Parts: sequence; structure tokens; C-alpha cells
Amino acid sequence: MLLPRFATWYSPSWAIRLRRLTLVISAVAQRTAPVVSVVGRVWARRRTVAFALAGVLVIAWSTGFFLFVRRQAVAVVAFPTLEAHPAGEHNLVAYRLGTTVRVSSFFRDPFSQHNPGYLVDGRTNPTLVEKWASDPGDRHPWVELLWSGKRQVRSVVIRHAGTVESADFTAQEYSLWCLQARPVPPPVVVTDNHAPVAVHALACSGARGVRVRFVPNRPGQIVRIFEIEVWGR
Amino acid sequence: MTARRVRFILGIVLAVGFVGRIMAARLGPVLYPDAYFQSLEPAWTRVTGEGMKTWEWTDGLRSWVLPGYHGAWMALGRSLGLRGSTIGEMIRLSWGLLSMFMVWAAWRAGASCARQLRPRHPCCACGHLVFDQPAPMGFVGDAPPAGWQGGLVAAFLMATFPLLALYSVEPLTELPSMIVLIVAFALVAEQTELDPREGKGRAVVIGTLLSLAVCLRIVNGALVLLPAIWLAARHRWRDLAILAGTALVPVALFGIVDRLTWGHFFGSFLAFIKFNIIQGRAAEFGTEPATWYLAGIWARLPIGLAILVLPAICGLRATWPFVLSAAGLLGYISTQAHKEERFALLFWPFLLIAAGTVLGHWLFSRAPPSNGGAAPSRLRRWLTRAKQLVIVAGMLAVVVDGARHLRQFDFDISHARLDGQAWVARQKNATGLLLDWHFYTGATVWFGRDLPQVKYEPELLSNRLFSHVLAGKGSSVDSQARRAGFVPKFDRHAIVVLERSR
Repeated sequence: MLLPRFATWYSPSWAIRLRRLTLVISAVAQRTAPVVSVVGRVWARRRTVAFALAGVLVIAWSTGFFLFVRRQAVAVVAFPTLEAHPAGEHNLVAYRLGTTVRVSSFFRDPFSQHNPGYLVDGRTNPTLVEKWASDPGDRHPWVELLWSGKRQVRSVVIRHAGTVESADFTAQEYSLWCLQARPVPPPVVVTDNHAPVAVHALACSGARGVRVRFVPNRPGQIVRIFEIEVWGR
Repeated sequence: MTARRVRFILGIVLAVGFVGRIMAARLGPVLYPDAYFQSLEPAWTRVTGEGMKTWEWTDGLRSWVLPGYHGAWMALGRSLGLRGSTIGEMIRLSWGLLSMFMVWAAWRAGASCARQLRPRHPCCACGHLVFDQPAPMGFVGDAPPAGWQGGLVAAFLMATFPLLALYSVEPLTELPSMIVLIVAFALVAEQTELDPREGKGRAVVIGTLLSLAVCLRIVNGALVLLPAIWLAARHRWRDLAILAGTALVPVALFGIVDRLTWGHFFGSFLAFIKFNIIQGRAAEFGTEPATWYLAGIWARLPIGLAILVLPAICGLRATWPFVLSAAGLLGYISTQAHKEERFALLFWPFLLIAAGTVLGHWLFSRAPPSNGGAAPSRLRRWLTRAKQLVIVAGMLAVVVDGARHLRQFDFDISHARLDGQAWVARQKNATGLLLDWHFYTGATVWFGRDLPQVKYEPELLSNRLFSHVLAGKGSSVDSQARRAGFVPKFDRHAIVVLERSR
């Protein structure tokens, strides 16, 4: 197939081929003349163009720097929705339901990262790594678990450090809120928890999430939570 | 040679250099985890809240200036909806683009030094050697600047030297410091040619750049001595005073940034000095013999090194600041116990400028006329041609030799690992990523999604939160993941990404 076409193209004499080539070149030159003209004009004003470009870059970078400085270091883990919420009572914050976890900080050492995603992984026998831990410098650690739509909340289950590691690490003082619930329910305040698995009744309707604010057991001590379940419908 | 032709060749050299850097940015390996964990990761952590915190950032050993610079682009990119990997690739490319300033600096410095190689004669009245003819420093009408020969060859070597192209896209502190320092050296070279009453503005720029180079990389502080000696040798005392004054501006900036971020003026600077110099704790990361850098340089350019060193030394009259800087840097860092190739990277631009200057001077020098002023004989013309041919072959040998020995880096991380992370980030069903060796990646930036990305542990395979595993093909992690029900979905250059199938 290719050979006949090739032969057709190359069959004319050299003079005709040269003529064709000249025509092609002149056509290309005609078509690109405006572009060449624009390039020439830009080159003639290269200093102005360079200053304008530098100005745009400086403005863009300054805008970015303003955003960077204003940014609050809040870690967010936003899972994609893999399943719809079931009809009955269920754990509203299972990661497969598209839960978003927001935390004030997390322990981000490269060798033991206690990612906030572990809070909703549904693991029944987690390893020591599979927990959320706050940053040692975070004096007011908090967690927010958010879901799509408005939901009715009945209770919150918190699996503390004591379920896997030393009971000394179990958070003793914390409070729980429903987020954006109407009417606004009072927070549940816990002051002396020692249960490794703490179940708290937190009744609210129309909520879009739950917030837990912790007080570290001792200054500088990190908060360690293996799992949080929010039960409701 | 007309100005137009010189500009055209310079344009081609710049274009070739830029294409090389684009290729390095997209196809080249990642050379140092530090580039990502010390410059990009802190910025990304601040912008997104996700990321790892290495010990330098816990101990306050690093300045926030460079992460602040990167962070601004990251914040802007995120606001525009760009992916982390796109932002990361753009940052690599932008450094490649910025490193083109070194090519420009090589052109200016090479031309300046080549002007110093033009013929001189003894001046009976002043007792010095003076140049035969004045030499224009810039393009005048249709004439290129004097010394363009040295400038063009220096720029060519700087643009095409493969090792520099490869390193010039890594966001390491060494890179901006090197760019700034080389530009400052080029400006100093031209400054020494000016009338002592001229060049106040240029002195301000030089002072700022030299200081910035040191603030970005404290170890380069010793190299600032050379420009100072150079200016002092030309009795440019006013320039030295301006230089000292303006040098305080970047120092103050870095001090203030440390105060705002770490709570103390020069907090990171002092912590760095304490850790590396007073306590000598850099040696904890490995020690090498004193000849390690020499051996490394030899290994990078076994044939080409002689082609660069010989002309650089032959033209010492003009190239001494560059040759001394290269030798001084090597000598100084060889005394340090902990050694990495990136610490010696600055050796190459100094050497390339020095060698390019002299090679260019030789390459374009005309055959001398025969006795009596007649045109050079045919034999002389042929000898000149042969000399030019040898020089061009030598230049090409440097580039080819450099390209042939681009291996055995301190760290050599396949770009496919970064592409694997970016691929997972694009998967709609991704919920978490396990990395076989998380330091050998583009950190959290390349993943760029608000999902867990953590170091691989075999126990984590049973955690259904992790939908993907990135591993070396055929590695133990690969086989363990396959046994746990993961199947390969991304396979590139011995890197495989496995997805949970059930």
C-alpha cells in the first residue's frame, strides 16, 4: 500500500519537485508571517516583556505567600464515598461512607506516623501504629469526624490507648459535641475516664459531625486514640 | 563574528540547556530525599496539614525561607486546584529554569575572563602591563562584546554538562546557593573591569547575592572570600564597603524569619553551626576518607577532567578566582568527615567557567600572519583548523564523558516511584497508600491527596484502609502484598503499584 503512494509522490522530475517544495515553503512562510511578526515585535520590546513577566511572577508568588502564611495547619483526611449510609442504625463514621476526619495535629514522625485516618479504619485488633496520636507540641488536641448530610446521633464509642497499650495513656479528660445540630445539645464533658473503651450517650439530630476536644493527661503528653465510632442513623 | 550571529548561537545554547533541564525534570531520577523532606515537605505540611516531620524540623536546624518560597507556590497551586504531583513537577522544572541563570552567568563571566587574556604590553610610564586595545563589555552596534569566544564556550559547557542539568532540578539548598553565587561571581568579574567610579548599583547586587548564597547554605561562606580578595586586588575599596553593607540585608531577613518561626534570631543558623561544626554530629550519617571528593570527581569525568583542568590552569592569569574557588571548596569540604556529592557540586560551575574561558579563547583565535604581514600560510591555516577541531572534540568529549558516567549517585530514586504515587492519587477508589520505603519517594507532595500515606508494615496489609501498595517489582513487599490479595495495576521501570482486589 505504501509503495505505490511513495512512487506517485516521487515520480515527477526534479524540476517539478523543486517547484512543489518552493510552493510549500512560500505557503508556510505566508501562514507563519503573522506569528513571526508577533515574535519580532515581542523581541523588540523584550525589556518591557521581561519586566511584565517578572511583575506577574512577583504578584503570583506574593498571593501564594499570603495564602501560605494564613494557612492553619489542620490535618484533614477525606475518604471517598465507597458505600451509601445504610438505612438503620450504624457507625456513621466508617471510612467507606466517605468520612472526613479533621484533627488539630498528628504525630508525624517518619517512622511511626499515627495518621488520623486510623480513627475510622474499623480495625478490631490494631497494632501500636494504627492509632491517632496528637503532636507533642499540641496543647489543645481535638478531632472532628464529619459525614455528608444531616444525621441523628445516639452515642459515641471511643477506643482509648488502654485497649492496646498501657492504661496510663488513656485520655481522662475530654468533651464531645455534635456539630451543626439543631437544637444545639449541651456537650458531654468527661473529667475522669479510665475505661479503655468508653461509650458516651450523645443525642442530637440534624448533626453533620462530632467533635472531641482532649486535655492531655500531663503537659507535653500526647493523646492516643485507636478508634472512634459514632452510632446513629 | 557579528553580534547577530553571537546572539543566535547563545540563544541555541540556552535552548539546548533548557531542553536538557526539562528532560532531567521529567525523566531524571530523584537524587536526594533531603530535597523533598527538607524543602518541600515542611511547606506542604503547612499548606495541607498532611506530611512527615523529619528530625531537622523537630530540632529547628533549618530555616523556613526556602520552604516559605516553595510553600507560596504550593498554596497558590492548591487554590487553583492543581494536584500535588503537578505542583511538585512544576517546582522541579522551575528550578531547572532558574538554573539557566548559571548559563547566563557563565556567558558573562567567560567573556569577562577572556577579555583578560587579550594581548598586553609593558607601560613604561605606569610600570604595569596594559592591554593593547580597549575591549567593549557589551554589544556595540554589530560587534559582539570582546571576549565573546570565552563566554560562548563557558555557556555551552554550563548548559550541556549533564551532571549539572540533572542536579539543577532538585530543590536542595545547594542549588539556589550555587545559582546565586555563580551569578555574583560573574558580576564581580565584570565589576573589576569597570572604572573605579562606576558600578555602585552592581556592587549592591553583588553584596546581596553573596550574602544570600551564604544564608541559603552556610558552608559556602568561605567562598565569599574570593570576590572580596578579587575586589581588594583591584583596589575597589568603595565596592567592598557597599558589599559589606548590603550583605546585611539577607542576613537580617533570615534572622527575622528565624525569630518568627523558631522563636530566636538566627535560631536555625546557630543550631546548624552547633550540630555540624561544634558537636561534629554530621559524622553520625557516615564518614568518608579525605580523598573521597577527588575520587568522586574523577569517577564522574575520567577523560573530560583533564580537558577541563589543563586549560583552566593555562589561563590562570584570568581564571584564578574560579580555579581557586573550585580548589578551595574541594579542600575545605574534604576536611569534613561527612561527605556527599551534592556538597561538591559547586566545584563544577567554577571549573566549567574557567575551562570554557580558555577553550573559547583558543578555539576562535586566528592563525597569526606570516612574517611581513602577509596572509597566514596554508600550513598555518591547516594547523589552526586542526587545533579548532581538537578543541571542539574535547568539548564534546566532556559532555559525552559526563553523560556516560551519570550513575552511582548517593541516592538514586527512580522517577517511576513518584509517578506511582501520582497514579494512586488519581484513583477514585483510593483510600490509603503503603510505601515500601517512604524516603525514596516524592514525600507527601507527590501523593497530594488528603488520605493516609504511610510506611509499609506487613501487619498493615490486613487494614482495609490501605487500598494500594507501592513497592519495587519482585521485592519482598511486592510478594507479600500479592499474597494478601493485592494485584498489580501500575508497572513502570521496576516499580509496581498494587491495588486491593477483595
